[in-house]
Amino acid sequence: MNYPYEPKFSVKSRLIKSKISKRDSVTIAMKLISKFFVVFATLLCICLLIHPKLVYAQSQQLIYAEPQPIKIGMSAAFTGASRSLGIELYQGSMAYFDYINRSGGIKGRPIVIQAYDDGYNPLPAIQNTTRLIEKDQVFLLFNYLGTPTVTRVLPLFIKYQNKPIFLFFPFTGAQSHRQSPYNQFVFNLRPSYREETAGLVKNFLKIGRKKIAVFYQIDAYGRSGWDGVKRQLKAEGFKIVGEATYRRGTEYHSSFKAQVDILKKAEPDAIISIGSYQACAGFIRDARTSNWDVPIANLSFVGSESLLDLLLKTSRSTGIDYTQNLINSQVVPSYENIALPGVKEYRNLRDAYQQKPPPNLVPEPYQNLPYSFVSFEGFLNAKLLVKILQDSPNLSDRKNLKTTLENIHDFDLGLDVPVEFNAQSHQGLHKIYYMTVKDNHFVPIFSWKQWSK
Amino acid sequence: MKMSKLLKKALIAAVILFAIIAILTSLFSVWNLNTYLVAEYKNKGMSLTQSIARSSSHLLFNSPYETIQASIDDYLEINGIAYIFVEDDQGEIISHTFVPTIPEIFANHNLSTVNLLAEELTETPLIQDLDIAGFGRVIDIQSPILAGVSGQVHVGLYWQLIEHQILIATLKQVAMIALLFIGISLITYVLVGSISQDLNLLIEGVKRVEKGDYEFNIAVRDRNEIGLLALAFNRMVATVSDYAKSLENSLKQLSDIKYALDQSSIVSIADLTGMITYVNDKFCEISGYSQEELICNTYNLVNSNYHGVEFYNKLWETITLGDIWRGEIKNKTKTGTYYWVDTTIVPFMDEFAHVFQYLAIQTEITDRKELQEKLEAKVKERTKQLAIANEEISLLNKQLKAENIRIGAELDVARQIQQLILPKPEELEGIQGLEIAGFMEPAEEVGGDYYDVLYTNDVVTIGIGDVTGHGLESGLLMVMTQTAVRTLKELQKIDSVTFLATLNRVIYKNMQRMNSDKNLTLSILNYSQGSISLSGQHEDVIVVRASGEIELVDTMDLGLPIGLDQEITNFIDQVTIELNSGDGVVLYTDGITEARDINKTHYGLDRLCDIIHQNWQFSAQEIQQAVIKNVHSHIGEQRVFDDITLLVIKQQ
Repeated sequence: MNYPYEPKFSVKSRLIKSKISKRDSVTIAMKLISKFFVVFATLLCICLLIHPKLVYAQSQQLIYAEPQPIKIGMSAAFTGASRSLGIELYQGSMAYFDYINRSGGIKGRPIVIQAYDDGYNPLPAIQNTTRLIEKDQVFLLFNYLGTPTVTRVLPLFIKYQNKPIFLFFPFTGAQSHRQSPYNQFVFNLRPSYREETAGLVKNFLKIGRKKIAVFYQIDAYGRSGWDGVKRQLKAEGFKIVGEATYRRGTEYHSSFKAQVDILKKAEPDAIISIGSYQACAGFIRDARTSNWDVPIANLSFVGSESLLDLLLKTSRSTGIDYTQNLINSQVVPSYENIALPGVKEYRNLRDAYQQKPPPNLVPEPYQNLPYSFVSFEGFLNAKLLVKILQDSPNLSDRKNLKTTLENIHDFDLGLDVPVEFNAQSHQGLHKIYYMTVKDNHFVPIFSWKQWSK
Repeated sequence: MKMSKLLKKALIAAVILFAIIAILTSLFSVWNLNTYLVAEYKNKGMSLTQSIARSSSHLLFNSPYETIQASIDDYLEINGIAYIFVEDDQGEIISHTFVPTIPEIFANHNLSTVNLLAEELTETPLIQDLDIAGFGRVIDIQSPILAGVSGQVHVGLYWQLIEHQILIATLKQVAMIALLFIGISLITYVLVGSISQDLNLLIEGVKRVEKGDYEFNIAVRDRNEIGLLALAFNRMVATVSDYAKSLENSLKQLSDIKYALDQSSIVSIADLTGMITYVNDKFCEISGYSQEELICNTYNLVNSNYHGVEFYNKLWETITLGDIWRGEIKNKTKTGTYYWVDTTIVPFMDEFAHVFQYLAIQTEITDRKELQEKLEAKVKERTKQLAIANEEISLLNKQLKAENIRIGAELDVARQIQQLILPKPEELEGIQGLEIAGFMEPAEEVGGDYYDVLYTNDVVTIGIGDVTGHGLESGLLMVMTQTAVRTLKELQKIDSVTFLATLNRVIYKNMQRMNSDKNLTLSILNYSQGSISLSGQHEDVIVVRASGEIELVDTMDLGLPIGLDQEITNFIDQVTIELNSGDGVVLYTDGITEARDINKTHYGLDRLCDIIHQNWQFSAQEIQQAVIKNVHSHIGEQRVFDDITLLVIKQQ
């Protein structure tokens, strides 16, 4: 509004100037300068009003006087065929973080999870990781989910090794990040798939089931499990008798008859299924539908509750019992085992935490599970992370995290085994728990004899 | 759109050519594309396989299989890859992408197992075409890891995909070429069409001009060659139109001339050899031959043999030189009769002045010729008769000459008598109170004019008369009259009526005796002391006053001709004319008033009165001479037929 005025004035002044005396011209110049300042101030105000960043910067400085939260980054499947895993994991962790935040946080600082959905696909996982590190500048990475995703993210830790950035307790039992060089950047709580599969193979062999076939997801996760089975069998002098695969993301309603037929031909004594809950449930459904009652063992990653839920739902409409001879290896004890203080604490805090996952992360409605192995694992992950953060001498230096972790010895998470870390081992737990379905619930297996051959 | 045939052909040829080019190009490009794409595809597969093999070489020893799996999973996302699998040095598949399981063909094969010690190591990939259930045809590329020491990588590429790609590329190419083809065809069609339109306009123009329509004008739309052609055409049409119009006129004229010629003349055309190529109806009509008979024949057909060889040689000589020959020819008709034709032969010459045909225009003159022959015969006869007549005439002439001489002598006597009897000048001079001048000139043949002046006892009696006819007889009558008048004068105191009646009886009776039918007009004037009494029928009496004023006195009712009848008393009357000093009368005969000049114009009474009026101041003698001079000048060299008599009487 003042802008067009100014040149007009100056033109006018120039016209006057030529006619008036020198003393008068000085007075006029002074007046001009004062006018200019008024105009300048007005323009500045307009600029400030228009530019939100400037205002934001100003207000942030003014408003946030309290301590900054500890931002931790998470990339997991919140959509797609494995979304219940991501959601459960997030909810379990948040139950504990919420509790910690409510009780004053870490040295007064709250813990905030910055979570992104990768849909259980490698490329979004890489994208999310970069974004978390570069843009969100999270303090650490936490609760990543899935082997194919994590396996592909691993090289980024080499890229950011000078920062450095660490990944705490990914929800995968794959081998890569348990080995050099990535074991320097990734710290695990849960046992590996190798340990899970080796346990399963050992138990099957013990009861005389020597012909073992593998149904697996044809990716790094499946390969990892397959590798574990193969190695254990080889160690005992056996081979995988048959194998069938499915593609990652295959949903429950798909037919798995082809895979069932392939494995049937191999006449196995037992099947170890390395997949996610939708495909594994589908496989079980089709195997049982074809009157094949061979024992089928799933790994912890499967998401036992979700798998059972699908089978029970189908069972209700078809009348077939799909839950016979199902075995599930777990890396945490059953949340039904309330004798354990950790389970008790989990159930209390999980009950207390009734917030739904953020809608921008989970766009489709999700049937909240009261308890699950996955959310229990998430809870345990959170609890251990809080311990490390609390132990860490300086929360502004990431390097402290590693040494703090390596100094955790014989830490009690409230489970039946203590958590042990050192410079050589970056994996906290090694114990595998075996479950089976009884009366539509997962219960611990006390004896394998029921499946003896 | 009506299209010019030439351009239609060109268009079809162009379209066919385009089509052939399009088909050949398509075939070639499909073949080329196929070869190229397959090679590229294999290359891609090979480089891919090798890259996997290289990246796997350290993973195999170092990493868990899931790492290899993760890396091959990435490659699987590349379009066209059916499968990837890695086998270790034992030939065992340690990572693969098969769903639901490893195909039979790879499950139990140990083909790629390398005997590390026995065989030479190679890093060259092995390419096989395989047919695998669930994948269809694939290109299997097998690449050794670490030259086979660590195992092998297999990558399967879908044939289906490459076929699909080739098909798509082919379709695109063919579609593009087809579009191009259609486009070019359309453009060509339109172009050819527009050119065609112009050409068709030109052709239509030519056709219309052919039909004689010179009003057609082509609208020039362009300045290209066709446009220029159209302009040239328009100009040409304008010129041709002018030519055609003048030609039409010429033709019209020519045809009119031909029509006229055909109507009036016998026309025929012959070529150089004299063979007839054209004859008109008149020729046929006159010769009695039909056109068919005449054409392709020579004029020998109508030769009458009337003219000799020399005649015809002369004719041919003339016309072969290119000159026109004119002449009359006698010809013979088919029926053997003869006819004459006035003939003009015109040689026609071409642009090199070479005679190429002859046109003969003939007019029938048979009638004229026959008439001429008859006339000639008549003339001969008449000439003969004339010769006889001539002899007779010359004899008669001789007789006539002799007679004439004799008559001439007689007339001379009569003339002499007539002259002798006239009053002498001294006689006239002696008359008191009157100045009188008399003149008489007899004609070659004596006319019988009479005048006399008698002076007795102060009475002057003047008589003037004219006898009918000429010759001796008339002269004799004049003399008799003079004698009778003198006789009666001498008697004295006789009144005018008695005078004339007596005179009439004397003459009448003498005429009866002479057995002559002649008579005379006669007026008698008696002057005494300024008064004249007039009686008797003759010419008008001219009374002239001293001032020159003229009065005419008609004498028709004063008497009858003398000698015509026995008794004229009842018819005689008398008038009196008073004369003062200087007044006078002039008497004359018709020899003056009827004197003719070269144009046979009479001298006339008016002229006479005029000359008298002009000269009245002179003496009677001078007046008389002036009048006679004037009459003679009127007559000129003409022959004088009648006697001339003039009498001027002037009172002193």
